[in-house]
Amino acid sequence: MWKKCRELLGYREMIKSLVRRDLRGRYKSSVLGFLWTFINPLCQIIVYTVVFSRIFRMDIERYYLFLTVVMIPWVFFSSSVSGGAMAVVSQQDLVKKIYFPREVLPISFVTSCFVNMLLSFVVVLVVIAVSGNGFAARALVCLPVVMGIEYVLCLGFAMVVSACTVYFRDLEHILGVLMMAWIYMTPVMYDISFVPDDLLAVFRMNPMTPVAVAYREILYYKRVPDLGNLLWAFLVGILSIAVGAAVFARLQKNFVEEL
Amino acid sequence: MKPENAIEVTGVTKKFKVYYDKGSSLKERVLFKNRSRHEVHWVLRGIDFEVKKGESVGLIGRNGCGKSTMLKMLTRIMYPTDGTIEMDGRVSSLLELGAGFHPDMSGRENIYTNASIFGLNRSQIEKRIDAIIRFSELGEFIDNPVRTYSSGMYMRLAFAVAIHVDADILLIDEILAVGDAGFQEKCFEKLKEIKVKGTTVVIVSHVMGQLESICDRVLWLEDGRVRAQGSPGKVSKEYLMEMEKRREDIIEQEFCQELKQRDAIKQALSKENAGIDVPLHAFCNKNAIREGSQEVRFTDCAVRNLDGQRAVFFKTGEKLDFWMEYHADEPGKEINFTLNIARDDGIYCFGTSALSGAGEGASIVSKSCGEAVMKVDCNSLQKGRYLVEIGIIGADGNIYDCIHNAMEFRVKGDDAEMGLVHLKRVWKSDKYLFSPNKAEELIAEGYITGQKSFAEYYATYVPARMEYEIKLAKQCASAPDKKMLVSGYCQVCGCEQDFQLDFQYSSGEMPNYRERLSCPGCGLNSRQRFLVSTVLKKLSQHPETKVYLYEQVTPVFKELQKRLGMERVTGSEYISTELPSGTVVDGIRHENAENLSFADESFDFIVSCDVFEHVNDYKKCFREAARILRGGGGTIYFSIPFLCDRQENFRRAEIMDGNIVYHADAVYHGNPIRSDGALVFWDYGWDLLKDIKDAGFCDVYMLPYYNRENGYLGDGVQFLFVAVK
Repeated sequence: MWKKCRELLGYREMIKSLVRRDLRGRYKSSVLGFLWTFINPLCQIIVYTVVFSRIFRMDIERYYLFLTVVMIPWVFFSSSVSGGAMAVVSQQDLVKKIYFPREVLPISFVTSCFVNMLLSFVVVLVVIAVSGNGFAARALVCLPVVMGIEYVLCLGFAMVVSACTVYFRDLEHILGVLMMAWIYMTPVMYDISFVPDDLLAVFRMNPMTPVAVAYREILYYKRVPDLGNLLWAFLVGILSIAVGAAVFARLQKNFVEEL
Repeated sequence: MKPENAIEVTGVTKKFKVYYDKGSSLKERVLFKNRSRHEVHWVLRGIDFEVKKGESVGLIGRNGCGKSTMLKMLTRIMYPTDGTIEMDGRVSSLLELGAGFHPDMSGRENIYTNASIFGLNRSQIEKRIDAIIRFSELGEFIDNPVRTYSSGMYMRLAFAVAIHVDADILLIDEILAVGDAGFQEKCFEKLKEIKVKGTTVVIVSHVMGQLESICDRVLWLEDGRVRAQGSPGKVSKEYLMEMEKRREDIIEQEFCQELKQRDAIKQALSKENAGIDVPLHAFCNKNAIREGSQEVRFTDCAVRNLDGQRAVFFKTGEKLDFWMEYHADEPGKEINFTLNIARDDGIYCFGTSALSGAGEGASIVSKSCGEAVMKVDCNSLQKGRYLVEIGIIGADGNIYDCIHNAMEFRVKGDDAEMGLVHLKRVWKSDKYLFSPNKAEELIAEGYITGQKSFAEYYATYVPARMEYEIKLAKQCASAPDKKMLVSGYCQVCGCEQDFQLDFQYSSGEMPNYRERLSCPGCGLNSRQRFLVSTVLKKLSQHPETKVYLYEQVTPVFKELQKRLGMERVTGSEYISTELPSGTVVDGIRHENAENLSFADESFDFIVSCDVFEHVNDYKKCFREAARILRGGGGTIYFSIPFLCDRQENFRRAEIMDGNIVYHADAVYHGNPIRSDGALVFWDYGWDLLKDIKDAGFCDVYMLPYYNRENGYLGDGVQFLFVAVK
């Protein structure tokens, strides 16, 4: 296991290259180019603001903020899992011709989504400052921790999913549907207090719930999140990495034959 | 895993599932269970080989024999079904160029990406980036997006990166076939550089020239197993011969098919037409074209070999018969047959008619049904495909029937010749005779009798040969373990072998060619092989002759006894001073060369390998040898270490009153029956030849032999001594 980690460390340049290539290539040949990384979330926020304050009125103050601070981390998770499914299949040329530890592929995909999230957060922080909601320094300190936990969670899932998709191509589409349902099982669009008691158990099982709640606590309520809740997410994250790594290692042996 | 190996492959097998219709979605797997039916295809059925550190090995074989699969497994892209692969060192593989190239990024950026995929970190790439850009020769284009590159530029960039990734083990899969000649040269130079640095290289290629210039060893994979291993020259020749044989087999099969089809048409003929009006395609080539009045017409034709069978392949020089059958509506006409042969590229080779040169008054009168044959005793055609046109003409030249492209045949070539025709020949160069038959390759006609004739010989031949020996010595010194294989033709075994060359018995920088270049088949080294093959040749020319050897336990004796039989070959060893000559101890006969126990004139030939420098009184030895030889032609063939720059014989040691007195440092050579070796008593010079004559021989000379093909090397020339009574 440690040998694998060391090997991956040796390939960090490749991970960096792939992430760079993905970010650069995403908006290449478009006029606005890299600016789209910022314009995208900004536009999202503008649309939410207009819709939720003028048309679909929600009882929550500054609903657009309430929504965005969880929506962006959610997009990181959902794109990691559903997009990550194709991480290996989409690079099959590389996989079939060159040796490198295959784990590099899901790692670089998730990292690239992570970087996107970070850049989108820049916009969010600007908007929070401008809107007048303000920040709580103590709470902000916890932000990297939450981000770290979410990263681990996404990576674990991405590993399992990317390895399995090689054998079952359907998985990509199944996950798309799953994510669509999953967002409603996470308190993204509503606060956790809205959930009736009999369904709370389901919500508690969802590892993204404490993560979503934590983001909201830090950025909207400006409170230090309940780290005990986060422990559950952390455990699931570690477990998912462990399972993910093991599953990936086992399945990757026959990648070339299946691709 | 042994420490000197870089790669160890043991018992590796690999199977692939070949799906008839792969169901890769969940629905298909669940609903259509049948769809996932597959056939198991075993690509590799048990491969074992080892590659030492610094060695370079080539893999050859037909397409689909598993070479690329083997490389992929060495790269760890795939894993074997069974067996183990162990590798020691960093592995870099060039299975495909330009992996990971992004078309919109510039060449320079892609170098970083590509190199990082090979496992280099940033600082390592920085160190190499300039060398890579320079090697690729792309100049200012390096900063343009790769999308705009031509395929040649793409390849240059990809190769430039791949070759600068310092690896301990480099695996290359057929990518060296791309690129223009200049760039390929460059790539090869670089590969050789890498080899010298000690990188282990495994390369798959179909181009034999590439393999011969880079590889120390070649593996031939066939049917999932290693079919042959050895020096590139030998294995690639075997491989090419096998491919050629397969091609020929396919052509023969097709020919048989064609004959069957023709027979089918013939069967379908109605009774009346058979033998009278046979459609063209029942007996001729598919492309045959017919013209003529058809009053007398062909009904069948064939090219036959010496057994009278239809055949499609002939060797140069073989017998060939062109047979044809005809039918005449009105018999009694005067006819003549014509035959023309052209090669398939249109070159006209030969044409004649039956009556040409037959003289006045010769004529052929047509019967109702008849036949004609043109018999060729010994064809002089070279390798190629030939088309035959046959015709029947009348007395005034009118054409009755003429079929172009009626028959075709192929000639199997000999690598020794090229061109259109074969000429029976023999080469002579000064005193040397070379015949195309390998078994008689080197027969020296002249001989050396003294310093003057030697000096002449030396000046003419030796300097150029020494260049080659020095080059070979360098190669051997830089090979792993300082051992290498040199391919050549062993005259004793009668086939191609890989002679083993190393630095055993060597006194310095040059290997001792005389005592090495040993053949794995017969176990004899260079001087032994020439001696044995010369003696065998001579003795087979004179059956019933007997030969005596001064040895009995050595490979030379065993080989001669095996080939000539126990009755003709007698041997002995010098076992101990006390025994009288003639006693047999444990099957070994003891003889003292100075006092042999044989009767006068009891042998026709004597053979001695490096014995006479170990005797105390050589003149007595030679007198004894002369005594036991038959008069009028009895010959002794012997080898001794000989220094060509010395006139007098120098005595190194002497036996006086039973004790050994040394006049120079004691030097020992190997002794087959005693581990303490045999003391050298004499260093011989040119005076030896005269002394031998005085001992009772009428003709004494040295036969120079030197031949790269047969692995006879050493100091520019080697000698076999011959003395005739």
